[in-house]
Amino acid sequence: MSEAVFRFAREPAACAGLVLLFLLLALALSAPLLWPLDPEAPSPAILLPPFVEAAHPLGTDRLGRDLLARLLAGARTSLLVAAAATAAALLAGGAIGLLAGFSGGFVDELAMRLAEAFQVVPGFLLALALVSVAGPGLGSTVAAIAAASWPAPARLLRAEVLKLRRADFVLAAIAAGLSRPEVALKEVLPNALPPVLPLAALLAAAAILVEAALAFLGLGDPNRPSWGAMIAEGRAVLVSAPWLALLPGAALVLSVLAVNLVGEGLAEALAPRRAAA
Amino acid sequence: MKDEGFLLEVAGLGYRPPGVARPIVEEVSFALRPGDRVALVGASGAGKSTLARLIVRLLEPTSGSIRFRGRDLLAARGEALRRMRAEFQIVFQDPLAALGPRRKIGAQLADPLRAFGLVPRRELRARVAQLLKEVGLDPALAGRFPHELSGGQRQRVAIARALASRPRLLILDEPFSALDLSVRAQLLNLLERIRTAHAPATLFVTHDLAVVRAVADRVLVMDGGRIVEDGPVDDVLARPRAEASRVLVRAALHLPRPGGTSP
Repeated sequence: MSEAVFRFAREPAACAGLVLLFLLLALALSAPLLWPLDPEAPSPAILLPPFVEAAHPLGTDRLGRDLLARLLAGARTSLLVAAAATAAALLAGGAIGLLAGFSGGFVDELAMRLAEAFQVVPGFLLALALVSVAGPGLGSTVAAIAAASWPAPARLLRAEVLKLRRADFVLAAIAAGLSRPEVALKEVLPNALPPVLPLAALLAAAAILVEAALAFLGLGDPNRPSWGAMIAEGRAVLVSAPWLALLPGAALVLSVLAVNLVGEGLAEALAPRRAAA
Repeated sequence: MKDEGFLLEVAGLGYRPPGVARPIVEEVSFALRPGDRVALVGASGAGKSTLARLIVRLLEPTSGSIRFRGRDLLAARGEALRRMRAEFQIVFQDPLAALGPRRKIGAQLADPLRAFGLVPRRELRARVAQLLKEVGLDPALAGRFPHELSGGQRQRVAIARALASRPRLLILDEPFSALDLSVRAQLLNLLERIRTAHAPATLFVTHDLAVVRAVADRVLVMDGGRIVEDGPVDDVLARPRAEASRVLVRAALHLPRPGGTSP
């Protein structure tokens, strides 16, 4: 494990991604302390451009709401949805994959056909359909993204389990009297997890994008600022006040980039050793 | 129910995985008595390791029967089977592969003690230390991970784990072939000590006739999934009848005798 950390640390892109991600997380988490302006409070200063007035360093939107406060609040929404949806997809998908890999036979068949059924529909369309049915909101966004992304971790874990269940150390644990659930949780799961980490990062990056897209279409939580919704609002004044769409767009790009870089770094660091180039 | 004196009775045992034309194990029958020292020899691919895994119920046989102390082992399932595992244990060929890579030695040694309910929770640590001492290892190794140990140390740990539940039958599947010669000699001594202390029946799987004399009184020769010869070690080594035995004995003539000086 420690040498994986070392390999990750030697990758400049991965480190940059990690730093960026930490920065975003820190900003999102400390937003109420750092910039305690209410992101929903309107003001008479309408469509103020950035870097003009110290009270609103990044300007204001059409209702005079502070853009910096809205960006920070958007970061909270974005990262919260990404983290919750990814966690839910990993838990549900992981449990299904583990079960399928261990049971085999009918259960395995059923789980894999179900995963395929979910995978043939593009993730965004599936999430869109689910949110349209469930109605906009934070919970339905998270649930819809998770529902669209559980098959990948399920298939990955199933494959790992199929590989590991015949491993000597798993057989030895069975011989040592461990029960099936114990073998699954103590011996198989910890050794099946390394390839799941980079996948989790990919899922999180995709979740950030899907959340923004849903919000852009007006299907996000109406009570929370979201980068997607901000871009949609800024579209109307794209020529006269381009910063309203560009700043949340840039924030979106940076977040997805950061998560993707970390994911790629993880994949690289945890990959089975290749010959040194 | 046959003679109650048998520990293990294997009859007509076969294993053919789905989609494979020829069975890997076919019509294997033999019996062991408590404390027997038996070697199972044969060329690579003869089905020895598969047979070993079938007997300890890590693979599901496709035909035949296994009786352990008179009980039908193949009828046992789930929890009943799990409990019976305390009495028959196996040591694998490659100790690095046989120990969980992400768990400490101590936790893995505690597995059988805990799983079979042999030791109260608060005595686990002390019993693990005792097990490590029994196989000639420093109890401090309990806090290490398998990759931090040498090959010989790892195989001692695997042996200690197999012995933890005081099994009546210990199967050793080519336990020394991943180790160098000096370590082999030490482990042969350890095995002898264990046998005098706990007297489990041992089935020693090997393709190396040089160690057979040291570990067994009787030898089973396997070829193409079948047992082709079964007899006292001295007889089989002096007058091999089956072709497979002759090939093995001829090959062994070029090896140093056990206990002799290495070339």
